[in-house]
Amino acid sequence: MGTFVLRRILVNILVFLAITVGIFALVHAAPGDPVRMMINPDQVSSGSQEFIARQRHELGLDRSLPVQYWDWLRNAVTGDLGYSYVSRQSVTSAISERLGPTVELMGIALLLSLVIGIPLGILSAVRRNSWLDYGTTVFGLGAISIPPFFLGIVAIYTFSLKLSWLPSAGMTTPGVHSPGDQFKHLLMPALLLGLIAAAPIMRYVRSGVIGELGEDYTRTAEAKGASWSRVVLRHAFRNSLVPLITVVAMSVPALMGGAVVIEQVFAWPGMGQLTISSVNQNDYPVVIGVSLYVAVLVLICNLLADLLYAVADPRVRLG
Amino acid sequence: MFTSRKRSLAKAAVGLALTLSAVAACSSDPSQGGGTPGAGSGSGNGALNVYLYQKPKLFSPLAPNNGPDQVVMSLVFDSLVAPDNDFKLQPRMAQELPQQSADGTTYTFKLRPGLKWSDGEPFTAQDVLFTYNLMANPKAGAASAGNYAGVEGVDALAAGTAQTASGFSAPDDNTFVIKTTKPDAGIVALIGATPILPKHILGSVAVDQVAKNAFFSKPTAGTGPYRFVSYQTDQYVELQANPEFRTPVGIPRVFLKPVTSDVATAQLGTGEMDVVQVSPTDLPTVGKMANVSVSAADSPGFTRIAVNQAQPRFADPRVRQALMYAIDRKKIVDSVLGGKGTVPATSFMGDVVPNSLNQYEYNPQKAKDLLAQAGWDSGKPVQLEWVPGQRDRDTTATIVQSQLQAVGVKVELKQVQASQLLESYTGGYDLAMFGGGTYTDPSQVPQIVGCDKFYPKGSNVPHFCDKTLDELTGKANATSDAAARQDLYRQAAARENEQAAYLWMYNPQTVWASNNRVQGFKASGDITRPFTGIENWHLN
Repeated sequence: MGTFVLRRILVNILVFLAITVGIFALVHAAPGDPVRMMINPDQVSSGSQEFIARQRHELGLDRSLPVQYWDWLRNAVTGDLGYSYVSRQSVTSAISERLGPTVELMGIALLLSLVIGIPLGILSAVRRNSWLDYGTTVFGLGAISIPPFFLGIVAIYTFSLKLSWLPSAGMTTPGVHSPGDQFKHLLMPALLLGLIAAAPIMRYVRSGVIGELGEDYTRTAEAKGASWSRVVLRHAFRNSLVPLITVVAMSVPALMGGAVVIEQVFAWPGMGQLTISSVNQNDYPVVIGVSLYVAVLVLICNLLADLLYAVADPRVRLG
Repeated sequence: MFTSRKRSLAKAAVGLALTLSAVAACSSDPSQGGGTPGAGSGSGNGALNVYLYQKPKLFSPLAPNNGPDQVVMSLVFDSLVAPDNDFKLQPRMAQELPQQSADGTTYTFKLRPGLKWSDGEPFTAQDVLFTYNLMANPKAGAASAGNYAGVEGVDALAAGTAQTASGFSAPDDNTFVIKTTKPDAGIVALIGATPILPKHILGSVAVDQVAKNAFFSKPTAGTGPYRFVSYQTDQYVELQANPEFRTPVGIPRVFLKPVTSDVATAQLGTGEMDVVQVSPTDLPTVGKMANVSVSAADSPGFTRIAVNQAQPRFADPRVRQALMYAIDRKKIVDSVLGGKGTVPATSFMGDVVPNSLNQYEYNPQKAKDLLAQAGWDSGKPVQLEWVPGQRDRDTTATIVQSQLQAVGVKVELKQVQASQLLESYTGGYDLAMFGGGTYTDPSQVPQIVGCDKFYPKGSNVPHFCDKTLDELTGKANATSDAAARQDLYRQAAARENEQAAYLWMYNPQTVWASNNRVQGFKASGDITRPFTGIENWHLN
């Protein structure tokens, strides 16, 4: 088990380095210059050539790309990801400022997706072809295929504009500091994101459990007099866990993607909004920082999934 | 074995959830009180909630102009003079508009007595002197440093042979004097509205370090009607009435919220937002909302298409006149802007526009004739570049394409990023559509049409050059007699109109929607300075 873990971690470090090179090259290959981006094209008078040249020099953009990369990597190893060209804030603090709201939103959404997806998946497997099964199938397909921004707008229209139950956007009402207010703001985006993530989990659990229920060993367990719930939960569900781990591990990056959209729709002050604004402004250090954060998130999830496979299925350890 | 692991996993998950909710609970401060808002019945925070169309970055007059930053700065800082909602210069911290010497080179500002910074420190002419020397000094890196070039001694400042410009002086604590190298009546409009910075905070910082000072992320002192409290990243800017402001401020607390226009419109409906700038295309939706009023005001700039006259095929004025005749601009205003705009025939605005201008009414036949006279080669296509995303401009581009096609000018549409557009300006383009600007004072127009202002040196993007026009505007700016100056500018406007320096598309109105609980709200057309007079507003 020890060498298995070590090998996985080493592979991940190499992948991570390759990702940094890739991100760096891609970001700099994108059209548009970050210094010119600071100047409003409707107000060209506000940025003289001298201003542009001086800014380029101050930001180190007049050096060659390999030099820029090497400098960046040297600092990045010490945890210094540079400064935002736009706000002059350090990238690490820009990210950590937004990490809280995003973790809050994504963590609760992930929890919701498991709490909703797993029981519904098991139930629809056990009661296959019932109305409940059809209902969850329709819900699942809807949640997977309707774009999140549309769901968000419909939700805002219904619950904020028409029913006046919930605030339409933001994380708090400015100037109001109460847990109740925060909860109200969190409810709609978290529920939406959770439901969207619950759909694939539900579908996988359903087909996994159905598959296992058809196996000989479940019939044996049943024949030995095990209770129905024990057969389903201890045997069938447990054995469908391996593919489920993959789905959940993959759903974290997917949640991040959904969060970018949901954060935008609900004006949630998290990583998603930072991603969009930094890309729009060619704010290279922040774009790279955000991409690294996503890369790390994906690598950690994959690593956790690899390790969990080994826990769920001892055969994996030999592989 | 597996069961126990599963249990510990579940425990960990529950633990995480509890931690998260605990973190969420801790970050709220119960002592601040404030009931939970009943959504729908107002915002619940008892403050004015204002829409900010982009996220603010830095509250620094040294940084390149950025709309949302300027909105916040216009509330937190004040200036000697500033345009009012009708774009007339009005005294702010100056007692009256500056006195001009007979030769038109010296401008003397008398400051209002007894003014204070929001932190209680006295405000004097020394603060003004400090600010102007800083803005003009290239070492400080102000993006707009070029605006101060006409002031005496700024060249020495730039060369590093002087620490301050001799053209700025403060003979006493209540007087500030600007001296220009040559008669320059436009200097007051150009630099008079510079936000004044506190010398007692920034005066001890090295000039080349000021721009990086933390003050500009969180200004701790200003002389505007509001003082800066905090910027909650990506959520809102909180402002509180400045107790030291020269008149009592009606609304004690203001939140400026950077959200998308969709969210802003929705929040206008729920009452979470009080004042929102809306697109004319949203008017039908907003018009139906109860308790919301809509008002409009002319903007200080206009949407235009620059024709690159560095290319010989566009150098003939008849070609540009033809393009003007070929586009039905009146119809664009009616259909695209819902009538919320006007059709300009020159870059000049207001009093100096003569009635006799050629309005270039839609006339495709005349356009064809002019093109034929100029020997236009209709086989060679023309590219129209613009930054997409604003509905009015996106629609206008397609209308222009089809109408120019009809007179034999084949147009290819090219959507570009903002920074690419700037690169096109230097690298050669055919047509470029953009907008904005402030041309309410005639002295600002030479910036975009002067022979010595070709981009990137100035903002003359189309490389338009007409010696007669330059002479007229030069003479006007050097004339201290107001009536004579106005007459010269009228001649200049007529000349510019005839030469078709730009394809003037439309002057859009800025449309505002405001909740009726905001009393005294008056629409302003300038979105970078939209809330002039906010101190007189009240909340019901």
